[in-house]
Amino acid sequence: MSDVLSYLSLPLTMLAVFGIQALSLQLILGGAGLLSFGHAAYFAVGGYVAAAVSVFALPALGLDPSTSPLFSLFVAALAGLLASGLTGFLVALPCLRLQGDYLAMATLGFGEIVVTVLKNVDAVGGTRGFKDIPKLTHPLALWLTLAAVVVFLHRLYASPLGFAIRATRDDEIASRSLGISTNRSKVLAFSIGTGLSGLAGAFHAHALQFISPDAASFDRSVEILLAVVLGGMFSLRGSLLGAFLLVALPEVLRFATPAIAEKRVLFFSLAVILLMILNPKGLAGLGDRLFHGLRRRPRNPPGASGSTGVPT
Amino acid sequence: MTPNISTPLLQAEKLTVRFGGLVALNGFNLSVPKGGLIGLIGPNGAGKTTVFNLMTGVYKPTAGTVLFEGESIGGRPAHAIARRGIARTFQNIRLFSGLTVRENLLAATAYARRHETFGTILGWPASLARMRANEKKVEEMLSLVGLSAHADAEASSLPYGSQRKLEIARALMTDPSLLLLDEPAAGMNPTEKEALRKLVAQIAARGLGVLVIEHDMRFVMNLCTTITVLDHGEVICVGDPKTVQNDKAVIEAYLGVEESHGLA
Repeated sequence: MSDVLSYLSLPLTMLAVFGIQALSLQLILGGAGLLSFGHAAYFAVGGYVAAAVSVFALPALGLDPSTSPLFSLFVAALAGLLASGLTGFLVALPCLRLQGDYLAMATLGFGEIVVTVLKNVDAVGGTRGFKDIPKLTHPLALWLTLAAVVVFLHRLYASPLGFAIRATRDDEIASRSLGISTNRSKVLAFSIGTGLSGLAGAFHAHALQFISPDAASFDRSVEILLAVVLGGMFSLRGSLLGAFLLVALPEVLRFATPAIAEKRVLFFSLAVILLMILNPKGLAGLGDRLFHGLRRRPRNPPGASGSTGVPT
Repeated sequence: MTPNISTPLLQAEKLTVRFGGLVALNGFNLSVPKGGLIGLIGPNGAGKTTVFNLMTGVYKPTAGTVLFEGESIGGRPAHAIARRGIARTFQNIRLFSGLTVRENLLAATAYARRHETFGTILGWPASLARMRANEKKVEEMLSLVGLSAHADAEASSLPYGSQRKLEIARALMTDPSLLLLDEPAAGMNPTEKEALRKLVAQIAARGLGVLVIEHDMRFVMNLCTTITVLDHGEVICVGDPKTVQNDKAVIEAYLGVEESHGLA
């Protein structure tokens, strides 16, 4: 039994970390309608800053993280969250004046800058990555944090700021005609989203005891984007579902026959393309469509409920 | 310039805007008193929506002033003008298509309730109570415009006429003192138009100033007390409905000059 648990410990950790990260992008992409191609960068910023706190800052202050792991984790995670949120804020100020493709290019560029910087700072391991980070987390703490993030985002969407963010996404001119500062909505959504991504990075670093510049890479950014879009970018549960699928599928396919296991990336990509063409609202939208189809409510368009970002 | 004794709610003086070489509006004057129902008509392309866009900060005037409650608002950002108390609807409907009918109205109160964000997220009882009070206000507004039955429908799934009503309701949710309606009756049937006319008159009776752009002449003539007629960016006539209907320049602007057949 304990063998099974220790085997599952890593996938369970990855599942929750990736879940938080997908939710953080859901706010930016589905909530605020901002296309970010560099979301992994903030994950790395959060991870590195949190690791630097528990490896350098806390011992320097005379506190050994191994004697008070929970407090150390709290301080480190908070530092990671604030650092990545602040980074996101500083990126957002100039970049959010750009629209669509241009914004995507700018965020992608910033992601590459983060990778390059991390590779060249020897104090945090350079290209070899940041090693020997104290193990400060436990799957349970992580899953509770994931639950807290879900509740936070759910309530945020029901709050005045949440409505301002979604109104800005749908129509900036109409939003401004109602007194909403669209710049403020976008900058805040981006900062909160990048902050939460950094929180995921902090947990990742302290669970695996290692983080490398690859964590900020374009490939990672695309993976998160894929999870959110695949699951359904307009709902929290859709994004979570997408994240879980993306983490779980390779684990499951590990046990498949070699013929399938070898070509799993190909099959997976095909499935994603088909799903996007047939159902742009993702798996959550597909679920709603089936649900509404069964209840025969022709006046409501498919996915009418559950497509606005509020459901859990 | 204005016969009103008290300061008018809105006053535009010598408003001019140029887009490159095109003069979209030239020396435009207009005054809207409290509780006033003012119509703005003119052929397509006359510059009516441009007037709205100048007054709501979508465009900046090239010259001239816009005074709102005695304060100059010309050239200020759109959201700042909205916060001062000017709300509008759009000719090409601009609802929040990803939100339900109810959520469209809740979004309109986002600025007024901005300080409630923290309390709502943390679940403070006082904030939740104010949130419920606001939701009740939304329900009242929905029943005022007759959309209660569609509260949970996606805004974009409503028929055209209902979308226009929802836009008016959304504008009213900001508690404005001036309401600008851009072709509110477009896409409505005669029964709906009559209900809308009564609704707009009722809104003005509360003391709001209302400025209406509308192509339906019967609607404008029955609703407004003063009408300004625009053609090619210039005011060609101002007066009560009867004066405007019998004005030679207005008839020519709409129907053309009689002898002009066959000429270049």
